Amino acid sequence: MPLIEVENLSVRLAVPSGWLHAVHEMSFQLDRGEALGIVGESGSGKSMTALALMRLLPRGAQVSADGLRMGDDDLLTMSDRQFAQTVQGSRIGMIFQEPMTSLNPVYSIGRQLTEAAVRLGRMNPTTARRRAVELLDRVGIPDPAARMRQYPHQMSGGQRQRVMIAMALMLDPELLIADEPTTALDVTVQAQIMELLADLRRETGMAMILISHDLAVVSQTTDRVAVMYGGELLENGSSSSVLAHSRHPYTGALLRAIPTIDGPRRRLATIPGIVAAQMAPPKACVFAERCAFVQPRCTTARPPRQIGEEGHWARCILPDAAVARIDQGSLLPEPAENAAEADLMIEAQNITKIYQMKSSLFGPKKEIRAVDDVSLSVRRGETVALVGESGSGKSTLARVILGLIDATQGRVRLQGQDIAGMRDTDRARLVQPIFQDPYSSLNPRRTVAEIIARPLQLRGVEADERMRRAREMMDIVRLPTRLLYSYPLHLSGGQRQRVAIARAMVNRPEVLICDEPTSALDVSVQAQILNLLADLQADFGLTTLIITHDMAVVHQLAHRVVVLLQGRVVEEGPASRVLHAPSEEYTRLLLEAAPRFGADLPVTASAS
Amino acid sequence: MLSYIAQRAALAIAVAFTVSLAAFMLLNIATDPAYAIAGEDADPEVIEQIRQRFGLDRPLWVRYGDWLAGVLRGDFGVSYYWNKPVATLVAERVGTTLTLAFSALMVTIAIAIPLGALAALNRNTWIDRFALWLAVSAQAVPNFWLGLILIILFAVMLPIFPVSGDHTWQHFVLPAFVLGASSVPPVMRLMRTGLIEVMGADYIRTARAKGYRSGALLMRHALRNALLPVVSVLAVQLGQKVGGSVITESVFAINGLGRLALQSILGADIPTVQILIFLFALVFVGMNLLADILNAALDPRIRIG
Repeated sequence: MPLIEVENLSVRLAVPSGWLHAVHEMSFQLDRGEALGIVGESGSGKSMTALALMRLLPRGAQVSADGLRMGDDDLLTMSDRQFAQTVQGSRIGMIFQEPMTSLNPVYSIGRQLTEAAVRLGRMNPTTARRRAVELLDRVGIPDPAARMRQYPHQMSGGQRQRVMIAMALMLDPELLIADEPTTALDVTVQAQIMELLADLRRETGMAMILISHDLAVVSQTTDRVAVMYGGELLENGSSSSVLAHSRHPYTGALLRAIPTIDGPRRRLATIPGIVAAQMAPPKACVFAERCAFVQPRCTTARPPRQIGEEGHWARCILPDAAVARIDQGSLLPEPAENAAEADLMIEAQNITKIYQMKSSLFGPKKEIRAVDDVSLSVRRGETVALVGESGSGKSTLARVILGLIDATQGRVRLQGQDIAGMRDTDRARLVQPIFQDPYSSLNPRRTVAEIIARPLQLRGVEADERMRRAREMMDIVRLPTRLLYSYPLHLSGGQRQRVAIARAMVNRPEVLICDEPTSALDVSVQAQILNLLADLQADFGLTTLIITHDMAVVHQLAHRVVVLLQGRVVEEGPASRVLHAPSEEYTRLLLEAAPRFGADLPVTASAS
Repeated sequence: MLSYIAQRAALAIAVAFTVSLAAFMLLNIATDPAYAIAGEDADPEVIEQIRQRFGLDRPLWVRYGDWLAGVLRGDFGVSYYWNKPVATLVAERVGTTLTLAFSALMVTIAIAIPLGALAALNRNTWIDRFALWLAVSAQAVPNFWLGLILIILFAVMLPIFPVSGDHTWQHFVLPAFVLGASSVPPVMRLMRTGLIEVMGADYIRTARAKGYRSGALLMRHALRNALLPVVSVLAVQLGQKVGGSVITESVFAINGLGRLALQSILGADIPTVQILIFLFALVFVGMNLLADILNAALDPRIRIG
């Protein structure tokens, strides 16, 4: 008997414009000890599925299903009270994406670990405490007994996620649901947490549902993979089978949209369009609008499941062979690494930035060396990647170079001029930033046209000319001109990031500084932005400084890499060398965290 | 923790003295104490004599220094108007005012916290709208009017409580309700928004995933977080009740500090007014200090930096 049986689970949410069909007739089974990965981009319904299983959906959500069983128990008919006492936390444990906010800030770790077990009467306080200390030790928290007295704010994000895992394991659940457990963490910590989860599963024999947007992570950790899109389960099969022989065009496209650090640099496969919200139960293929293989039949009826070997199925009318035809992207030119004669565009010499913090009004000052004696130079036409995790000082350094904050020591020269004596407008013409979060970096009260043309307006360019240039820029970043008078609210994340790029490029700056330009975006959108940046590099000979934690992004774009750790440069060199023969242990750790399954993809002859 | 309290206390006292300095300067510039003591139609010579007798001819800063030294010794000066030491006047009334203020605070807490919680947990339902209506109404009703209406209803038409005075606990029921009701709207709203925010927090979802629901979820995970901002506001409200019960004390003829303040102001009794302002400032900063300490006690993020 399977542990979990879900039959035609649907979730709809009340939104101002009607009902959003977040999950539509989703069915799957999970055996004891099995691990299922549910993969999808934002809005695919993957988290809603998990929340529905745990009865944690927001108010105003409606769930329906033909069957929802856990072992012998019918979860559909179980009362909330009984569900809370016998299933939530005891038979199903859950961990979440946001370890920084998922623990109650005002109670100690120990209390939060033990309270549920004691309250449900499963353990007495002493046993619960002993078990909690054991689990903390198991999940890799040093000095666990002392940590029990600490509060969440005294721990790092990775440690908090370990505490969350320990908490979910307190009552030996039969199933652990992990909803994007590592997305908010640094890459090296991500790898450790995933390893921990895999080990724990082996030790305890519990089943696991891992929800993630990252197909690579999921396929490495789970037995089976379910791919969701637009609330619909599109493909389900064993991980190796889904990865090697994807039967749905969406899965195939997604796989080729992920940048890897292996093999030659290619244009990433992109999926045109954006994820559309399903405001009615789907009567056609939910992916038809964006599918490269769309046929008339796709838009008139919901495609049936085509079941193949070992229960690997896809909701698509195409024969398998068709999906394998998805093109590998065309090769990108190998970056010329010998740019030694080109002009120096950025020269940062011995930059140190110290932040002084006071813990209390009269308390002693604490010094934080965010950037510690870092020198960096970027030549014309070069793309340099500044790599590091949170707290490495990479964003601080970028802000110093942009002139947004002053360095404590050291100086920055842009195209030979010291920025200390430079007028803001002159500096802005030389160097422009693109920030990580396109949701907050655009003024919500201005139209796209106004946002893009704003730098021109500041220079006193005439209105007609501004409009012409804004249109031209939208063309370059491939935004449809119908969006000219839209507000950022109405744009998707990828479109907003294009607007940000257009604004940065409108004055034709010499240097672009991109601070994690794609880490807030979905995989298919990230591919579009990375391709766009590669095109801008090639077409305008742009000099770029890219700040990222993702080695695959480095491989995709950079000529040279500078690795930062705790404000210091630990390794520097040409991308090809650093990515394939890193000399530092830390660089190796970062590299191990990057997805590596690209080489396994079936390579088909590409026409382009 | 201790050093944190010590810092806050030092700051609080500094603020109180700054307020007293400003009050002293303003009072002595705006009015001429000698005129006030002499009364209207007094001879210029008499006024001059009074000025010399009370030392009012000396520069302002010397007189402030004198006053300050007195306060630090515990000598609050003598009231011109009552011809009694100010300390005696205050001591006679402080108990009454504190009783009134604390009972009013209890009224506020008893109404505002459950009402705010109820509104938050039933957001956008008729309960929420009713609570909001109640809050707006309470804010719109002036204290003296509510006081008079309550007197008519519960002292005259239904003689449950005495009309005025301050001899028994029954005397305090109506005024405490009037004074407490005025603080209900801000506290209730804060409780409502605070709890709505907390109930949407990730850690509440975590608690629900551990099997916590309804009552236990509220009491064991949500309430403490939601109360953090409320505690600060309650402390400020208590400060206001001690210093700002002038109208309520007058309506119910309660012989407290508020009424004393009113009478001293009308009688241009500068020494009393000066001390009262200083005391009210002290209570105010004291309450803020208390709020900081309570917040630190409730929130480990403040306690353990």
